[in-house]
Amino acid sequence: MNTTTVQVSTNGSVTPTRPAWAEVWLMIIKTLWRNRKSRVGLILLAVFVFVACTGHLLAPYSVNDSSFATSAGPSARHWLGTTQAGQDVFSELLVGTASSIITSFSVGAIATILAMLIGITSGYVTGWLDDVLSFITNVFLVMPGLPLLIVLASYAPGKNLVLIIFIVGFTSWPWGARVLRSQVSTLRTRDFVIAARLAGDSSTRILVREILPNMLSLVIAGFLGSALFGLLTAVGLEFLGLGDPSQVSWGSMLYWAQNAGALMNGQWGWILAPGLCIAIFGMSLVLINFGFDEISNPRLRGDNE
Amino acid sequence: MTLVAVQDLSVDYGRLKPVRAVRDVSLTIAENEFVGLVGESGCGKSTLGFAIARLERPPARIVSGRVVIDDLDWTNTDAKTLRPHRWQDVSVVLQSGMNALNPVMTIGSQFRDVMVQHASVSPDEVLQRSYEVLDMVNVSRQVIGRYPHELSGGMKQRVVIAMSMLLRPRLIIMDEPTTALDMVVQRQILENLKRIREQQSFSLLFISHDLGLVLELVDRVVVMYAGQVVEVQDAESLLDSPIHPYTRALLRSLPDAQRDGGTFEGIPGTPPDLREELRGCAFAPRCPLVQAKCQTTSPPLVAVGTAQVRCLVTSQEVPRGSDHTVR
Amino acid sequence: MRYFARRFTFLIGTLWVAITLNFLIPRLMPGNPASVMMAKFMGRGQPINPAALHAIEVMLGISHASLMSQYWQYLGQVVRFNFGLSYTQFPYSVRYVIGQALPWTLGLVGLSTILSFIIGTGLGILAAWRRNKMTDTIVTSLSAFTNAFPYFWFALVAVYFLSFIHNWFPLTGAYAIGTSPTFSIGFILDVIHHGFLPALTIVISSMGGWLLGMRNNMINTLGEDYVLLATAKGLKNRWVAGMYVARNAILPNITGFAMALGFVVAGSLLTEVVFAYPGIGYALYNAVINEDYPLMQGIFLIIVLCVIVANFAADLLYVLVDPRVRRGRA
Repeated sequence: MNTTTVQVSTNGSVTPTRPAWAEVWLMIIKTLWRNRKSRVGLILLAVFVFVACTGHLLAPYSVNDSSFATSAGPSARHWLGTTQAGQDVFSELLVGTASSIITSFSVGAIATILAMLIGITSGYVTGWLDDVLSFITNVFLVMPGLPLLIVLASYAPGKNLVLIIFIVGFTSWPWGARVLRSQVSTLRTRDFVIAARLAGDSSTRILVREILPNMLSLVIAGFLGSALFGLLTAVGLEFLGLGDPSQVSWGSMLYWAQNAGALMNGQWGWILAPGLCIAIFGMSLVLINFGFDEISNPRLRGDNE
Repeated sequence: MTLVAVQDLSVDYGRLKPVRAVRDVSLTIAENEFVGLVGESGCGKSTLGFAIARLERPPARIVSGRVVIDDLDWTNTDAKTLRPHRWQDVSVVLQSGMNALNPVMTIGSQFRDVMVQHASVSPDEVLQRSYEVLDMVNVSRQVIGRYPHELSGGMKQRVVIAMSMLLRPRLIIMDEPTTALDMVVQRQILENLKRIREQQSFSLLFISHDLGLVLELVDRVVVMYAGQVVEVQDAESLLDSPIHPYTRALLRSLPDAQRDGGTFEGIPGTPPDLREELRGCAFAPRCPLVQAKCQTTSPPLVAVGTAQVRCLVTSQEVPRGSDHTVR
Repeated sequence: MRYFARRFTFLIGTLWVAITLNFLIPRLMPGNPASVMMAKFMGRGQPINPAALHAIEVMLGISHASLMSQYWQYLGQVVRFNFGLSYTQFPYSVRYVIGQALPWTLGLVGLSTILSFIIGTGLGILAAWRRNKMTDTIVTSLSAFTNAFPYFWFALVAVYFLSFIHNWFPLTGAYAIGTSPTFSIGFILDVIHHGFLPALTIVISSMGGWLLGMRNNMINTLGEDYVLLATAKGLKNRWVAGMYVARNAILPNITGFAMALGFVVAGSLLTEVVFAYPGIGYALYNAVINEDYPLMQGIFLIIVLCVIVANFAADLLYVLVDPRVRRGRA
């Protein structure tokens, strides 16, 4: 019934072919930069990364210098005031950027690696292993993370940043795993993957060469999502005093500020600034993710952007 | 009496480096006439069909030309004024009946909303008319209370056709209405349409890549290639004497042709890139009769007998028959 | 029915995983929690009194029986909601403490979550319908911002400006100090007055997620054939937006409820801390700072229970709104 030979599309590209890695990256960066929202996000993120790298140089005072008047409000010398121990809040904010961003990105990395391992495995295999992994993913998706983390963190011996990173990382993978699983299970049946399998390529090779490049944007989007989740969760734990209070970070600043009753003493800068930094840093991740949404879902692309 | 007049209609996809999918197309559909629109996928036939009903979706947009339906210029009327005319004057049937129905509403309520929003009708009248149109397409009246996922593909497509009849529209545009269906269901739907035509008068624009199917149903065929109309001819005469080399190739590729001793033939080559300005005849690179002039001169659409053809070579052949009137 | 059974199995499965985790975490952590606690009590370096250690072990429900038999015993207790004795609020049981706090949280967090879901989804519909227009740009950018700030921080800022500086709302608590819960109009108004600001901060902090999700779903649904056909049918714009687009777009958002609920609840718990709201979150906070392990673990289980029950409710709601799932009923 169908005269197949007369069915060639105008652009000539009907079957998706395996894109080269470099091309994929270039495409992602181009699309992100073209999109107004994700461009703003990238610029904001660059600023934060810059401050994270140079915070200790930019800071007007040392964070260990507690020789100033204690619990002072914002002034010309101390833009955001001083802590109850007499440290400069603005300096803490700059220096704390590094550990907050490291926390955020490390959690993102751990969660993404776990999400890839679990999501890709369960999407690529079928049968009981898929069922089990899917069940675990769904259970941890529903499980409220923070209370679980609180229980974990309170039993954990000692309190330090690395530990927080690990336990937050180990509880924030399910969302990404679920997204990757469904993507892999669609890709698995595509022509170019089947062709590679028929050609005798090993599963690992197929995953790395054929499947991964096709979901790079999802992986990165998942990373950004987990990084935001990780930062907010870590900040929550630190605020409760379950972090390492001696480590200068946005979260521990809020902990000390709250403990010192900063707001009621009129030290609004001490509370406002770290929170705003968290929000703006988080917003930059959300904005970049808008761009990724549009890469993986062309329908979201606006006509006029 | 002309119902639809399309004049020099052009449709672009995108703005920066636009794909001109429909190029200066003019065509008419008479009242109560069935017109078939055929061509390879990507030739712009669906784009044209949607543009006529003013359903073009971004990034598609009409860049020039007019569509006049029953004396109303649909291209120059704002959405609000157009709304009451939709479905009342022009209804559409989409390619995949599977997704044309709202999954969370029953068939009955999808029939009802279109009726009550166009006229004040009683629930009884709604039900009565719903039964009528379902009978027309041979679908059980019980589907009124069903959800789309409870119907088979063929049933859904017939329900969609029934829905298009609800308001007794002047024109129905069907875009590949049978493509996703198997041969048996395809046949049934074709028979349905022929029978409905006896009960109710309406014009039909039937869009399909399948020339054989189209020839069985319609009065007149419009063949499109690379966004242009390349041939317009009555269905009856087209089967015997296609003029444009592209139409001839399409006919030869029909399975029926093999019965007459011909062998199954595809058309070698691919259509041109529609982002570029066309030079010469768009079909020249694939044409078996190509001559030197075809590469440089763009052929106009000229009358050949009762037909219209866009070809420098075949339109010069000895005119057949004595009828020289042009539609 | 099969759908229902499957969701119910999942509910039980999740609960079982949570209970098991709760059982394993203290036992798998290095060191005996009882001796850790003793060490904290007595100060470091002091010899541990075996009798006291045993007392704490009994209180914590730690025995030296085999892990398996402990596990069975533990399961039996949990099923009867017996979580042992709280240790900061001795001699009250954990169950009693939770019972006191839970209604406040269910009221505050439950109501604000439902409100934020409704408002966020509604604004998401609006943003998608006015896509790339002013409303969309403002609403979407604002949500990207609110979506990224810590709930408790926003609560702190709100308390500072609205309660501390302007005195419009009470600083802390769920009702005025010196009154006790009664079912009088005055008391209810007082509770609403106290609850308004915490609720507002939860709604604003959590709304962005629903909003962005709904906007994406809407835009996806706008590309569906049935929406195009609805336009072709000449239906009124509002009807198309509501019955054809939003009605379908909300389905994945209800599923998304499952994923986001845990996060919203976690955020709300911290909000309670800021307002010293006498709910589960504040109780958890107190348990954490006082190292009240039995209470902490009991609260964890109750939170998990509430979240998955809410999820189950969302699943049931889904049956009502998606006829494709409902079919299993026949």
